Amino acid sequence: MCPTEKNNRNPIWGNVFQSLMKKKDQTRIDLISKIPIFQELSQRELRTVSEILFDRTYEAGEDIFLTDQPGAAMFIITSGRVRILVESSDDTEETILAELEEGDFFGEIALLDNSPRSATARAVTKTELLAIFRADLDKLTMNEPYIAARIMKQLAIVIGMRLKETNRQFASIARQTTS
Amino acid sequence: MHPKNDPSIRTIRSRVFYSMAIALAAGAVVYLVFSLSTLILPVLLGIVFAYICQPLLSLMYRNGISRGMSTLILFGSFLVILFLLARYVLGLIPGEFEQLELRASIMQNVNDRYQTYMGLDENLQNGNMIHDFVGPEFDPLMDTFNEWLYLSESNQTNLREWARLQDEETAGRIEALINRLTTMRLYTNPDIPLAESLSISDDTHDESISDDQESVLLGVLNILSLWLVMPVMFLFFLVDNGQMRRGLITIVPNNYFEMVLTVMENVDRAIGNYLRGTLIEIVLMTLTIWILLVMIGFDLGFGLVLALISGIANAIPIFGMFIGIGICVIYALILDDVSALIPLVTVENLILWVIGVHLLAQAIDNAVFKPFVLGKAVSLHPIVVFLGAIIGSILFGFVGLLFAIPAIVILKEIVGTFHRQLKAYFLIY
Repeated sequence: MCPTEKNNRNPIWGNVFQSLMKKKDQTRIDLISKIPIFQELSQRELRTVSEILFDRTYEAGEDIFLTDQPGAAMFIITSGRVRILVESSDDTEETILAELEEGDFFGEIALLDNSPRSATARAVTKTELLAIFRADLDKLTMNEPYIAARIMKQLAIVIGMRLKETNRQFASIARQTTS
Repeated sequence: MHPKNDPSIRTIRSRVFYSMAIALAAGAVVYLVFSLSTLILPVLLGIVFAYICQPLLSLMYRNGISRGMSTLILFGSFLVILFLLARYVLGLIPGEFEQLELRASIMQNVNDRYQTYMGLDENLQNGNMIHDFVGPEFDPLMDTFNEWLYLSESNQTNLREWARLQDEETAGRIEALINRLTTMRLYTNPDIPLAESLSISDDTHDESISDDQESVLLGVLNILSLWLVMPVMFLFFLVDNGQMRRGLITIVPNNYFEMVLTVMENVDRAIGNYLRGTLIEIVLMTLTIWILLVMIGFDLGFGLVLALISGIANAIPIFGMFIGIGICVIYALILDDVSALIPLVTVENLILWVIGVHLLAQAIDNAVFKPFVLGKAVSLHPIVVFLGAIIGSILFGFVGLLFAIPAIVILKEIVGTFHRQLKAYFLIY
């Protein structure tokens, strides 16, 4: 915090509110405010969202979820790296689809339906994640539709971009195969 | 090797630590449940009411009322309802002399009904066919009942003096009641008056009465102090905005994280549906029984209290109906006169009408209310229901009887969902 900002704060209420705000909560709010799907939300709205997030820590090499498991939560990386991969039908080979880092999210389809996971997510290094559970997002849609709508919109934009990228890769592979 | 570089040792230590913590916590919960068994009912009811109010809280929040204000409104309403209910129920509890009059009145009415049903003459010598058939079993029971309710000499004197201070009508009614008591005879030996057969001395009887009054007062105070826990639990669970769930989830291993969240959500939904369904069923049954009781001549106010007790008792499978019938029959026995909307109802056959009312309400409940309100929420085998209620009542008395079935429903949902999810997450075959 810069000195000017500190001086501008109300001497009575500013301190009272600062003492009431838990440091950990504020850190988490600062962190999620940088994540694309939450970028349009105000501080109050971010606080509401932070109340439905779960902190998880995974060791290097630990599976976050496996292909074909039911999906119930989306994960946001707050530190570390996560690899998204698919295994061959006999589990002997693995194809890496993507490697994600701080600020990225994965498993977002689980927020929309309860279809099985289409890939495996594995922590590459010690990784800290925030998880958002589908049922909690459904409740947020009921109680705070304005917040939920903006999250959903951002989610749709990101999924759309990922679909475009997949189409581009698919077209590229198709061209290589035909040539 | 440094421990932080050896994950297998850390895994083993983690498992030992969590197993010990869970075992200790389970032991503490079992110990507390048994040692603080008197607190179970107020605590559970506080939680149940908070659970039922959660949709109301969400509704208020959705309509622009802040969560804090919504909680305050619900808690305030809860306290007001509790206060009004307590005041109404305490108002219904008779005073010392009213209790004596009530005892004499119940005794007279029950004996009159018994003599009518058994066709006994004034000397209690000859009865009808029913008496010939069941008299040898019922006569000793009636004698015991009369000895239990009989007013001692000093109680009779006190009651007379109190009645004289009231009005002439009361004095006349009490005098008639006491005369009727003193002329009563033993059913098993009609030559001996009831008063002579009693071996209870006045002193001990009076002492026991004053002791009773003192213990009743202490009991009421104890109960009130215990029941203060209920609004506290109600507020505690109403204020909780998922913090408890988040706290629990932090101790769940990563492998089970999503699965446990799904189980908690499914169980939460099932419990919510079951509790709300049961509450609606209680309200519908209370209204049905109230209307039917008023139709057969019950007072509006008392009828509502009795219907409410019957409606709540109805939530206890199998035994609930009998509790409702028992309480309404006792009230029917106290009534001296009845003015029913149905012409065939008389004081003599009122008990049969009370039983009929409950049977009809049960039929309506099974045919209409249960299928629509509860649906498949309680798909338990009848033998499970029966054994559950018996075991619950043995372990925790009335509380066990009341909460055995909800507990089984919750346990069934937890085990069933866990099993499905463990398979879905490839954790078991």
